[in-house]
Amino acid sequence: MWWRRHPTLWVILALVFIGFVIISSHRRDPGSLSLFERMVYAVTRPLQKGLTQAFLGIRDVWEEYVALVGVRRENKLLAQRIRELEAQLIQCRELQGSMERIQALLDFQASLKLPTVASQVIGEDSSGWFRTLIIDKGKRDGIERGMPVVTKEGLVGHVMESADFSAKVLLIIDRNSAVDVMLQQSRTKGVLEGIGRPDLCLLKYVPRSETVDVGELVITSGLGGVYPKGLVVGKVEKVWREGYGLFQKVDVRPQVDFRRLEEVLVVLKGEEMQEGSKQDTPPHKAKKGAR
Amino acid sequence: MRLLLLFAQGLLLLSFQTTFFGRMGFSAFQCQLWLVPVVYGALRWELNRALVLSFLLGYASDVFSGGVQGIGALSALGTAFGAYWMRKGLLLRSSLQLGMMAGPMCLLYQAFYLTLGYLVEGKAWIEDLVISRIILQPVVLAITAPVIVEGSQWVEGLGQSRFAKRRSE
Repeated sequence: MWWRRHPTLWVILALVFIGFVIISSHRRDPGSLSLFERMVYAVTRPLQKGLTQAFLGIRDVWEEYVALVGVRRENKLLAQRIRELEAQLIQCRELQGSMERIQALLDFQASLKLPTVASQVIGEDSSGWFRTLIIDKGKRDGIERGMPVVTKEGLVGHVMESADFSAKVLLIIDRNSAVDVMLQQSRTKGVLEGIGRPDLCLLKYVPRSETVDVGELVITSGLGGVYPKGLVVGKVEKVWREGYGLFQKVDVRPQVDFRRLEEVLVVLKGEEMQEGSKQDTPPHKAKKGAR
Repeated sequence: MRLLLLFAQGLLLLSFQTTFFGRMGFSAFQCQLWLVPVVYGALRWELNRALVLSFLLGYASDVFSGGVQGIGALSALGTAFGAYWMRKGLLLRSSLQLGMMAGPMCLLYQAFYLTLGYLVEGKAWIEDLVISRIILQPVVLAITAPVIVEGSQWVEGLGQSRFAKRRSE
């Protein structure tokens, strides 16, 4: 039989079929994780965590040592004598920096008046097409899909997938992200969409009649039940008012520096927020629903 | 055994890619390191095994991607298939020669990914197709790949020697 003579054809057909089953099931339920995905998360979590720690160590050494090579050459003798002390100082500085960041995060956590879980960023998007992060806390820590993620600077995004010990966060700067927001002073509402750039988002559906000032603070409106009301998102950078149309477009600079995110807080949903979010579409289709 | 070892190497490369490259601030260099074992398998192994490895690693890369799961798996499958057919007539003996093939295969992967992404999501990410993706990433991958191929060969040899030992026992 011809099909017995072509086992490769069956392998290809089987893999393509499985591929389309994966795509189809993910489209239907974006938050669900298969056994394979759970396994990949579980295996790579310690790797990612270790590599992240190693990178931070190397970066600190680079910043503290290599940048000073020129000075050190001029002060060879002195440098040798103080090297040990300097190494200790670097460790102390790193500890102090960590302490300050954690303290600031704890202060913010206390001020939020919402149950939160502190988490470390351990990875970034693998494809380069999207703006997502991997954090080191997951379902075992109470983290579920749709939960908002914040820092003391402002809103970061929301959890789009949660494995046992890690979770994936969709950032507000991703093209698939859309957040219901309002301008703090004028209370004008709009939808903040990511454009894939770490330093800029686009505020849409702001009526032309409304006056928008550059520098005005943009905060979450609380509509949709995904994000709590009043979280800082960014500041108005530029206002685009075309000669026609019902709305004006506003450039918003996010408050969070997405290139240097190390620790975040995941807001565990209270009952009120969960009731609201049940009515939403899944966060994967955020552009259409998760606001 | 070889398949599992190369898969493990791919996961390690994927972890490296999602931690170091992003944090270094060189998003232009964020090339698909995990694609090197896929290309290596397609150029050195029989087709069936190479396809399974490519599918698994592509799916693993999907896990860390914000896109629809499965697109990367199918794109990697297509890339492995392409690499397998291209190897005919090519003299691929050294790590350098094998590694250099990762550059063009990176382009092929991006083409598959874009096409499937458009078919599934209905969105063309062509606006993100900046010069870094077309030129810089394949070039960087082609330069770094020979080192990774050396690693792949070592990992593969590890599996073979253990297997051979067990057989002799």
